Amino acid sequence: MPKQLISTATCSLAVLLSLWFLVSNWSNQSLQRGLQNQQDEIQTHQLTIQSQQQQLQAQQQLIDSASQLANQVGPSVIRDLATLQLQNKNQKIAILLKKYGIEAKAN
Amino acid sequence: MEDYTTENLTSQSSNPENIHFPLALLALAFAIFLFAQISSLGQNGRSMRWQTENLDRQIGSLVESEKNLGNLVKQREALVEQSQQVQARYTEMLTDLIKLSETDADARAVVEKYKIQRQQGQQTSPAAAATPQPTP
Repeated sequence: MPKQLISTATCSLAVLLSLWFLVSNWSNQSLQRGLQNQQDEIQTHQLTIQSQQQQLQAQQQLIDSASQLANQVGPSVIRDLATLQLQNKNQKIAILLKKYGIEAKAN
Repeated sequence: MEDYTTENLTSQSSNPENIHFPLALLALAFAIFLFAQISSLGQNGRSMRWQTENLDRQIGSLVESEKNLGNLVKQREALVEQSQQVQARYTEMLTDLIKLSETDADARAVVEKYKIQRQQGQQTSPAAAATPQPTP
């Protein structure tokens, strides 16, 4: 009788542990799916950020280019044109400058 | 003597009480194996939960960065529009200057001094056709 009890108890323990093992396995699989979803989400966010950084870079290039034109090259060209117009009384250049609202005057 | 041994063995193996011990031993071994597996699964589960928390924090940080970059792009839109207008205006003027340089020596001198030239592949849009090279 005690031998029978021991074998029944150990078999019951094995069955219970099998059920526990199954539940733990399902739980882990669910966690793994969650992790995969989070990784996908991170990848999506990273792609969006990359795109935004490229957009910012393009904006910066445009701003730098316009700034260089407006602050360095543009004024120098206009100054030279105005000087030449005054020195040589060049009417064509005067018309060109006037078209863009610039009028050269001798000091 | 031989008969006795055989009889004894037969009587032992046919006794249903004797099957319980090997069965219990087998079940115990299986239970130990399962316990080890469950323990390992538990460790994996804890590790995955820790990873989930980390990934959650990472997602939060990325969402914040995304929001900040979006705001920065929006903030710069006005400046970008202004820059585009400035660039378009200068480009138009420089295009006119290039045209004038074909007939006027003073204009040609300025064009040559600043190495102003039309860019290849943009001739269809004269407003963006001329860009100056760096100042000499």
